[in-house]
Amino acid sequence: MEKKKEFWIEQTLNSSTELKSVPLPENLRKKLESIPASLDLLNNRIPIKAVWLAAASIALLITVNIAAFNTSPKIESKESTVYNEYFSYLNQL
Amino acid sequence: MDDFHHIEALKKGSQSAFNSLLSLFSQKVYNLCLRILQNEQDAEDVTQEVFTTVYLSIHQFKGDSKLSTWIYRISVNKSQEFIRKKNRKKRFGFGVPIDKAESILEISSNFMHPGLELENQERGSILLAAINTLPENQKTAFTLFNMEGIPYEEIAQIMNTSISAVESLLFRARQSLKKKLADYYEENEQ
Repeated sequence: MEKKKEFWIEQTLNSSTELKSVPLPENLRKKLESIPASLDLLNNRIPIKAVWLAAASIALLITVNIAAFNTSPKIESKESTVYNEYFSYLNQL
Repeated sequence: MDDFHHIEALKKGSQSAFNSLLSLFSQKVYNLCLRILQNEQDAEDVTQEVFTTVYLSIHQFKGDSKLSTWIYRISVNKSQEFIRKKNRKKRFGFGVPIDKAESILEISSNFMHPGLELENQERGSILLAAINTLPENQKTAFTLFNMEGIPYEEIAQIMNTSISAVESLLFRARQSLKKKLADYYEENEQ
């Protein structure tokens, strides 16, 4: 009984080597052959120059915004100095 | 065309070089994916992913290994990634805890491999179901060695590990399969 079991296990384990190679499905072959064309089309649709131009524009926009943000408190302080001078003038009157 | 000239032509984006790459490897990659994934549609999807990756990253191939080894490595990684994603979806979808995952695989492995001959179909399906319950690395090593006939050294390169680790994985896979098959025999074949 034990020998029969051992034999069955060995035979089942060895059946892994009996798996035959399956031919490639025709639709898959066509899809694989079209990979370069479809990827090239994707790359050509958006020129690399346009990508760089867009990135540069975004970077410029961010820089301008940061610069504007940094200079705005100075204007405010100038304004407050003008107000202070005006009020001190009024007080003197 | 030797490997070097073939790779150079591929790097230049040659369609004929890509077609000759397909004629050399597409069937092998599809069969490897089919053996690991045990589902024809999934194997087709992963095969497409493999060759898309090969086309896009051929310029990263430095020639440290054979071209076939590099392509097999991509195939194994993509197949393993696919299984992990699928298992995550299953766990999420049904709320099954991680420690019960093995039983999910057992249920979903009613796969009849098209390469099984009629007289071996039942035995082959039992073995494939048992292989499906092995840990990821044991399953990969067993598939590469026993089904693809790839030598230890190349398996080590494909799996990014040492030859002794491959030997150990194969030994443990065989022991584990023997135990699973013995349990199956006691329940069903007596």
